[in-house]
Amino acid sequence: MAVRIPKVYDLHVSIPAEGDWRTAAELLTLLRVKGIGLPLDSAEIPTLKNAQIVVVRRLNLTPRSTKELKESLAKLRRRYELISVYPSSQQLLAASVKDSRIDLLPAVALLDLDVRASHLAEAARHEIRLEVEVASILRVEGEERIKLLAGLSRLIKLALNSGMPIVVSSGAKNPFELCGYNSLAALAWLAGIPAEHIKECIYKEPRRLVEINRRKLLQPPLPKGVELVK
Amino acid sequence: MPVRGIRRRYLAVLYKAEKPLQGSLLFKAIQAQLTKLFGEYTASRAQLRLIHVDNSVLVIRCSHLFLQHVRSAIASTRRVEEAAVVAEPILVSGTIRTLREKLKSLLEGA
Repeated sequence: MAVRIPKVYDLHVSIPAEGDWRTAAELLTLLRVKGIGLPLDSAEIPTLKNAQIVVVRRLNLTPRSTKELKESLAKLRRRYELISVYPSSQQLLAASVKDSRIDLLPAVALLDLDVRASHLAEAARHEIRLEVEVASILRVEGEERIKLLAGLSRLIKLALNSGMPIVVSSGAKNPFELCGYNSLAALAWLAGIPAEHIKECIYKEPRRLVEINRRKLLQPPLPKGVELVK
Repeated sequence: MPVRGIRRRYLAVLYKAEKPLQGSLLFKAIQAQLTKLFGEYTASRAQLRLIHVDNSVLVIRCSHLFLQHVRSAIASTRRVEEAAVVAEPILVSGTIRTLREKLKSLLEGA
């Protein structure tokens, strides 16, 4: 009886460089995580290479103005495989959903903003994904968790109705917040992702995003829709 | 042939804690988490039972109607008596026999 557990890409792990990476590498192997999105230089963490964990270079941008966002994206896009933006105002949200250089919009960053279906439909047109970080559910309790789950489920419903792809990641800040496929699936269900969409959000979409972005970085910069075939 | 209204599900839970941890304590923490997340009514209907414990795997039985609730409670249990823990529901089966076979195959293949 062959049993297989899908190996996932966890696109957001934010354990600091001085954190317990030995335990993290051990747990990532145990939980069958294929790769992680890391806002650090992987050379700082040799234990990951020894454990054969793929590292995806990620940048978390928290711009203060639209101008700063545009400048950072122009300067940094080709140096990172993944770029996520944490918008802090309505103007930044409106600018972010129209910029196809952005890959991910974290759901926790959108909870305090007035997000409409039109924003998410615009984001979907620019191939931006909504990122649900499940560790945020683990860190709070009681009334705070009620508010968080209600906000997440509202955003997820809006995203699904607007055709915006969803990516589920752990968002772990310490090794014991890491998740494997089954934990991500269980917490995604808790956040409000319907069972029929869970595999797409945990397994297929992160893999697709990493593959597309790696392919793009290998090519010289070309306008949108143009691909170098030979 | 009559069909059972409430079928059972057996779950294998892989766990690792920062300090040595008794599996029965983890089971109690999962029960408490289930109550915290879904309330006493769901916790009573889920029919959670501890079937087997060893150093790294816990086998739990629950009602098939509340499988997702139990999985969520397991995934959100991250602390047992001041020790950080990771608990991953790795396998589900309808009988304890097939669960053991699947677990054996999984651990041999790893």
